[in-house]
Amino acid sequence: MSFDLAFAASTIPTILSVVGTTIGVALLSCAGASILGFSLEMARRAGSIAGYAMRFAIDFIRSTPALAWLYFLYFVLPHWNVTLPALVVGILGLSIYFSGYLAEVFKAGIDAIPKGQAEAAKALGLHRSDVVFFILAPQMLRNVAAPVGNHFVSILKATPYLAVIAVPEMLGRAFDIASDTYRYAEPLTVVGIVFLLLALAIAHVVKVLERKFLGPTGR
Amino acid sequence: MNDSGHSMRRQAQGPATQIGQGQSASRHDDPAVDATALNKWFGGFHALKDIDLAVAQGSRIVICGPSGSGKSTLIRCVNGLETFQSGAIRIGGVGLTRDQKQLRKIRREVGMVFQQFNLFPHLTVMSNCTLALRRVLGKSKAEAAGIALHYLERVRIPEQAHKYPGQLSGGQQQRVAIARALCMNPKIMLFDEPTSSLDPEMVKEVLDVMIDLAEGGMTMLCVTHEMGFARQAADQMVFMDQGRIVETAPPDSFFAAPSQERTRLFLDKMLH
Amino acid sequence: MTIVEIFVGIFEGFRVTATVTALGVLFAVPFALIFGVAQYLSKGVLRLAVTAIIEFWRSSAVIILLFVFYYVLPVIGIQLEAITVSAVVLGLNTGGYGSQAVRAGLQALDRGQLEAALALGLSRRHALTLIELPQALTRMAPTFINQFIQLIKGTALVSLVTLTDMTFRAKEIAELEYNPVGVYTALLLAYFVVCYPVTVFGRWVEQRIGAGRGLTSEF
Repeated sequence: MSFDLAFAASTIPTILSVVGTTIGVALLSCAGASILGFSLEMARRAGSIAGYAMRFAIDFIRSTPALAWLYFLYFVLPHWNVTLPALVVGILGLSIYFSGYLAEVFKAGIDAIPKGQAEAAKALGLHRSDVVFFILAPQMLRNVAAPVGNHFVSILKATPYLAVIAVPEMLGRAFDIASDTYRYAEPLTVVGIVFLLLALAIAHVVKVLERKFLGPTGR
Repeated sequence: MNDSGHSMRRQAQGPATQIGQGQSASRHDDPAVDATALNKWFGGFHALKDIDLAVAQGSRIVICGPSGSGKSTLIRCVNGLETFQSGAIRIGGVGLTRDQKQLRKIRREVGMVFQQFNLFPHLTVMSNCTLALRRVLGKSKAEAAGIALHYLERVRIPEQAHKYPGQLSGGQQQRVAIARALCMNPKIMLFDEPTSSLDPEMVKEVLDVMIDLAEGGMTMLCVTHEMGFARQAADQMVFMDQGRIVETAPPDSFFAAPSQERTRLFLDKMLH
Repeated sequence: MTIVEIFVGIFEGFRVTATVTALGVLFAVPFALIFGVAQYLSKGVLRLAVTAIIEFWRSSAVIILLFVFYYVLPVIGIQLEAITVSAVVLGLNTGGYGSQAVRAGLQALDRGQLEAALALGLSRRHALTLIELPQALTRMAPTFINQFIQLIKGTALVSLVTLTDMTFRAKEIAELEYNPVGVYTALLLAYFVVCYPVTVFGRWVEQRIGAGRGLTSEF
């Protein structure tokens, strides 16, 4: 058996038909991971006991592979009578896994804001909520934009994991084709190239957005 | 210069007689800032030791001293950025507490200029100045812009209003910081080493603004190493060392003939 | 099975996990050093070529790369054992990230170090190996440790190409016994037990080398 280019080309439309699922999963997981990660970091800052517990939770998540989380949720949730579509389970799993990383990103983003910013805002008599909303939050968002963008690319590259829990995304499609035709090499190569191009393209977009977004403040 | 009719030490009457009915009324002869028996610890470190300081309205006090003497800590206590464990501070007769609402009220009356400028980098110069006007004083966008422009003109950089802090020089940024504080129309201005982070050629432009402010009658409490400025603008010099006020005197006698040995040593180092 | 028995059963897969990790390191370290230095030193077309190779291994989705190599290599006549393929793919992917850390570490060095070395008469090669690399690598040590942890977690993927690592064992046990909570919790714990000590070690190293430079600390 040798590599059949024509066949490879013929698999492209089928595989690309679910590229939307891939990107959608990545975006939703990124959002989920951001929200969860931010909450973890806020909880960690809240108090000493909660702080240690959250620190431990973050460490625990970061010490375990994404695949294990996907398996855990996929098999345990139904056992607890929680029936969710595989897609949702997948997004949940990736959100949990990447929240560990994003919690660190938010921590660094907040710590990077000079202490004097809050002091100057308070010295002007601003209410605590105004200090957070007008002064701290915008600066935190600027600080985390680039790292979150980079993690988004990582999340995108993790979406194929969802194939192991039967989610209709690109890797899954490739295996569908393979199991029908007994030809594995071609569809898998196509998926590989698509992902490589996608990752490079999005990484580039992130860099461009970074420059545009952070540029005009003169920093 | 001003006469020393306003005494520097706490008067025998004590603050109780100055208040009269309740804490809310501040009378025009109350000291702008009155610290009594102020003590502050950072953990085990005793940073401020039995500080007594009364700053009369309209006077200009310069606090100097070696690093670690507590000068910054002292003025940061005045607007509640630092808390203190014992003693009292009264701003215009009203005692400082830890109540956030009361602190915010007091902070409207007390402006502060920081060594690191602390301008908000993501906001334009104009927005830096108008934010508190709109959010704290409830002014309309147009009204706030008018006030901001007025003070930006006062510090001589109205044309920079739409730039971002990162596009300005250090001296310009500090002047914006002064304008930002002035926009709130404070009764007292605190300066925490305002020129220490500036390149030498930009120090003058900031000091000129501060002298201008002094001549306009603003009550000022400055921590600074700029002795030339102190000689020109201050009513009283306060020398602090290791958390205590060692000596206070009008600039003439302070520089010519300091009464304390430590003051003498410090001035020798500073002026040579 | 009790949870302890499940845990022990899963840990039988540790030999494979460890082997793949160790072999992966064998590929990752030379790649990171060679290509990291190459990217640092080279210019023009050569640099582009080096960057392309690095980006291929770094920006690809590991899971897809693994499947592609596993299925495509035999088709083009290269017969390799699954464990070799896994080690190469995981190792070079990690090496891709590692090369960026090497390069960043070299670029972050004070230019004066190189100038002083050359002024003393050291050859460029000696300046690199005696002055630049030792400092760069020490500074990036926490990053390398972090990437090592990523590698360990990445080995979970080899369970998908028939290697009997911890994840594979977990799935085996799950098929024998219906106890998803026990099995998959034990799986998460198993990886935690392996990775967390490395995290702690990484934190200690970070403290030892006086980190806190830059926006993010690794741990």
